[in-house]
Amino acid sequence: MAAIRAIAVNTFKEAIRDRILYLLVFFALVMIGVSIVISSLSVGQNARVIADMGLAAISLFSVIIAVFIGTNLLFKEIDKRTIITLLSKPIHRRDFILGKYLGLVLTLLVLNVVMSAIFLLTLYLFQRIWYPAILWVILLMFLELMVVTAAAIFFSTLSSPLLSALFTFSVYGIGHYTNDLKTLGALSKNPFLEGITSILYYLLPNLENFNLKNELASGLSITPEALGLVLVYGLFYIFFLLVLSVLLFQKKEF
Amino acid sequence: MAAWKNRFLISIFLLGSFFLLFSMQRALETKLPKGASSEVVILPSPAIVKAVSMGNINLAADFYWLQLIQYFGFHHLTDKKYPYFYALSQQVTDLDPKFSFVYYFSAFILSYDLKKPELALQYLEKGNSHNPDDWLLLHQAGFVSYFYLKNSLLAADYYDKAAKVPGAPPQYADLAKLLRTKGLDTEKERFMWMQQYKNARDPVMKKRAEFALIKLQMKEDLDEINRALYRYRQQKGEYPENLNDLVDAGLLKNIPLDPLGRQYIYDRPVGLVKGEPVDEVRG
Repeated sequence: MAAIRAIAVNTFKEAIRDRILYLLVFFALVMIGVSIVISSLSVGQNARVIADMGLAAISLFSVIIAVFIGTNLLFKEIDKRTIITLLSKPIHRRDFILGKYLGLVLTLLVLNVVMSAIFLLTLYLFQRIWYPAILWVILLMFLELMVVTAAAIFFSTLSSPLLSALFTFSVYGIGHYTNDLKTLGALSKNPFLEGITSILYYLLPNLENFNLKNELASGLSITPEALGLVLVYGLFYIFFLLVLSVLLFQKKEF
Repeated sequence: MAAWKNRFLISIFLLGSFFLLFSMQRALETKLPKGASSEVVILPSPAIVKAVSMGNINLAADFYWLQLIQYFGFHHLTDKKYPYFYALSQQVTDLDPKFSFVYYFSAFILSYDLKKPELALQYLEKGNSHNPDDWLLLHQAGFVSYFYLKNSLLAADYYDKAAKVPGAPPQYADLAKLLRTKGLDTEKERFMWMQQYKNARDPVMKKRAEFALIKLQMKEDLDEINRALYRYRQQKGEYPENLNDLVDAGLLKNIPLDPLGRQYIYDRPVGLVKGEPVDEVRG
């Protein structure tokens, strides 16, 4: 446990040293800028547009960070040979992966908390509006982010940073279109293609499960039961990816 | 041994995980709210789409074409209402004005399903202005004018124009002439539906053309038999026992079956034949 914590904290510190928090300033500027511009356009749907923009910006910024840092974490250690020193200590390789993952999740958590605070504050200050469901939306967005981060770590045990980033972005992209993938298979009426698309559909993370953004304005219609299942689905997917990462990482030789 | 044990455990883990993910996704499908998000038609202005697509304008047009097809398919099978059909069609061809099949397809749907032949013609005019070499669009304009606007002269003009395009079927000029004369409707109609059938590239249009051709054939057959029945009665004073008497009397060469291979039904007291109903096949 101590090893995991130490690695996690170090990963977090490293991210901070990489000036990642500057992103927050940028985000705040974007949010406030958009709010002012939208307010002056004033076609009646300001709050909605600002809410949609803010949520989209939070999720986009976070995914970009998760992918670029996540796919570089292992590579950096290997490239700079620091991993050899690390693994010669009584640290299990499993702990190394877990620590890296948790450190990145911690970084993202801090970023998300601050970004959400800026977002909710601008929404409230400029529009005097508060959606009760918004915290659930943000929570599930963060769970999605955790899945994407796990995917980034998984790919980085397999491949170079650039390719891993590409793979992770693809998973992120496809993850939002798996429903269409299934429809496509059904439309093709070709049993072979249908088989392939439905395997992909069930195997790839269905990130739309975590997407409550579009229901924000109209109020959530998700049942607590479904919400619980989504949480379990996300956590299990993370567990699954991390186990695979550990298995692959254990085979690696330096 | 240990290696085998490990591999076995890993396989179990993988299989178990797949199964769990599969069943969770299955459960989520029924539990998660559906609705609004699946039927949102987003139509940003073509200028914005062009900017966002970073040069892949045709790809963007393809995307909206797939949306259009899905939109039509979904509403065709459900409520048969298509409020955004025209807007989506416009979106595709605003992005790629040379995507000529879209004009052809949408004009047919606009006339047949939305009952807006004027809109279809307007849309085809746009298509023609961007694709003057595509005679199929002119054929479609003629087709829409004849069947849905009931304007044979306008149709004749379009077929004349189509005939002048290199590569167009040579019969178009004759058809234009035929359209300007009175009568002989089945012949004109059969020709136009045949064209529609030959050029259809999607199942809905093909089935509809096939359906129309079957009905035309049946109409012709029934007219022929009914005329023979009328003459038989003039000659013999009563309607025949059965239809074969018509052949024996030399009024018909043979008794045709309908295009689906079924017999026409003879109603002796009335002295008429009629066809079995043809269900419009759903595409």
